[in-house]
Amino acid sequence: MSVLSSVSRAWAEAGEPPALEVRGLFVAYDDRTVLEGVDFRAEAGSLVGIVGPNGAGKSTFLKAVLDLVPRLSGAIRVFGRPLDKRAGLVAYVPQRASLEWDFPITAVEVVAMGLYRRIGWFRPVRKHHLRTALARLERVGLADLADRPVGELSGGQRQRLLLARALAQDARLYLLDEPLAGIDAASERLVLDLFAELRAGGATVVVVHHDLDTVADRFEEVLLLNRRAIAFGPPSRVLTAANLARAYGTPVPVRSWNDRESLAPASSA
Amino acid sequence: MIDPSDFLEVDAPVLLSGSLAALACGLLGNFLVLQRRALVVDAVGHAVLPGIVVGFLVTGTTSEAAMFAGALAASVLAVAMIEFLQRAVRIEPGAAIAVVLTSLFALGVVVLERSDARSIHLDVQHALMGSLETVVWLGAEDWSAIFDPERLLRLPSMLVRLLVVTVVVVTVLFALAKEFTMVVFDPAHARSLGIPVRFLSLLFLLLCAVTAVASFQAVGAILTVAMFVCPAATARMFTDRLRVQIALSALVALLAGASGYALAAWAPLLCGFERGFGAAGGIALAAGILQTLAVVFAPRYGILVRRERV
Repeated sequence: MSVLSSVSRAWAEAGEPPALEVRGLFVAYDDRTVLEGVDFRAEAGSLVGIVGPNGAGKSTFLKAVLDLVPRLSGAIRVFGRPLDKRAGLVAYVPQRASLEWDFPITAVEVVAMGLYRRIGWFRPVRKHHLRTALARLERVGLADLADRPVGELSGGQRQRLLLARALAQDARLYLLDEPLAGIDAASERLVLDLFAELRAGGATVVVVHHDLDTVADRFEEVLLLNRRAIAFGPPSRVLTAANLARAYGTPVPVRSWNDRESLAPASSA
Repeated sequence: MIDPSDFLEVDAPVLLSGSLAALACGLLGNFLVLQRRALVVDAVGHAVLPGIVVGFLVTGTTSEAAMFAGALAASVLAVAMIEFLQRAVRIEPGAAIAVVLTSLFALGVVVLERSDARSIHLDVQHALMGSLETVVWLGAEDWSAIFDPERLLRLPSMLVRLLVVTVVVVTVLFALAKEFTMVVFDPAHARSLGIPVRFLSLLFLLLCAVTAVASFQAVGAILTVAMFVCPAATARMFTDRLRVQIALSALVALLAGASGYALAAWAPLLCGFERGFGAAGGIALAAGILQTLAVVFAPRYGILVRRERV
């Protein structure tokens, strides 16, 4: 992991623009502000987590970055380009629960949706598109279930399916909303391996994550969010007792994040 | 032996109009039911009442064109109001539909009571209950009429309208099936790919409104909901593939149209009654029967099979 992060740092020094750069992001639903001046930066080739309590605006942050919800203000750049020039660079994986799974469609057809930009308007999905889609399903270990209706897949399989659809987009920046929530251990292993693979291929992965205990093992940088950016940086510096208390409003049990200097008993994890 | 004059002048126009209405509505119904928005059609159906009445008051005629324009304007207004309530005011979809449906219908009732035009009442009745029986192809005495451009020009306007609407529906669905599927399955992902989700949703609802209005004239506003829901829901019982479902729903729609007409026009005669009953009712009834049969007997999702599995 340290090799990869030094690579990404080297790129950054060579003038490679960050994969995602957000400055002063404000978002409001009706009269309720959800995000207040959030700054964020994901270097190309990095794996970044976004954590925070429920209702902290984590999903909204991803949606705002994708232009799916209106912003009050804020500048967003994807690989140094403005948002409307992001076409083909970004793949989005929404929360699994936000989809209608009782739908007459098979797994491979869902993955083919990721090929949309290649297929184009009005054109039908052809055999070779389905072959490409099948190859992506193989990468997430679902090739056997290609012709299954999506309603018959388990939670972990559905998550892998959405990942395969994102893979089909051949993007350079992946934004994933809670991909590790409520999935079985095998699927989790597979998803984490996939993140590593993507980074090895030079892609950037930004993940909304719910589980504080595993943040430090999985992400090299983390944004602690609760409407504002409470802290941003390496997990060891971000996940301090003081920061977590500010984000969650109550003291949160802290595991040994700070390079084995535990702030609280490790047993709390 | 079928008498060509009877069949072409009376039976065929009704049979075709009913079947085309069922086909156009049934095809759109696939996506409408998947979006769980079937009741939008019901709202549009009720909105037709004020549309027709105001159409009459504005133009002073009960010409078909005036009625059609009024109904269409009202149904588009209904769709816009539902969208507005859901998006801008954040009212739950079912409630938004209920509010629009009742208030527009009430408006229609009030305006209708205030205007003392007798003739309009008949048109209102037609809009709500359908007027399939008034569709006749005058002068089509023998089979050669089908190839006679002069007599084809005298085809009933309702049938022509339904034909045009069906062709438009089939063309749009054929061209945009992939896009509509993505929009319904995962709108957020579709938007992240740059698909204009709002535009496509609106286009789809407009298409539904136009189709519904054309279909109201044939089978009536109340029964049109059955045309939208039953073929798709029946087809869903047999397949887990959308393309197969759409093809099956077209078949079910045509079957409902044909068997519904037979049920209404011919079955009573065979049973010794002197006259048949309304074809609109027959078609909706046939659609309901097909749906019920599917729910009970479908190979994977039917009640019988499910029960055995437990």
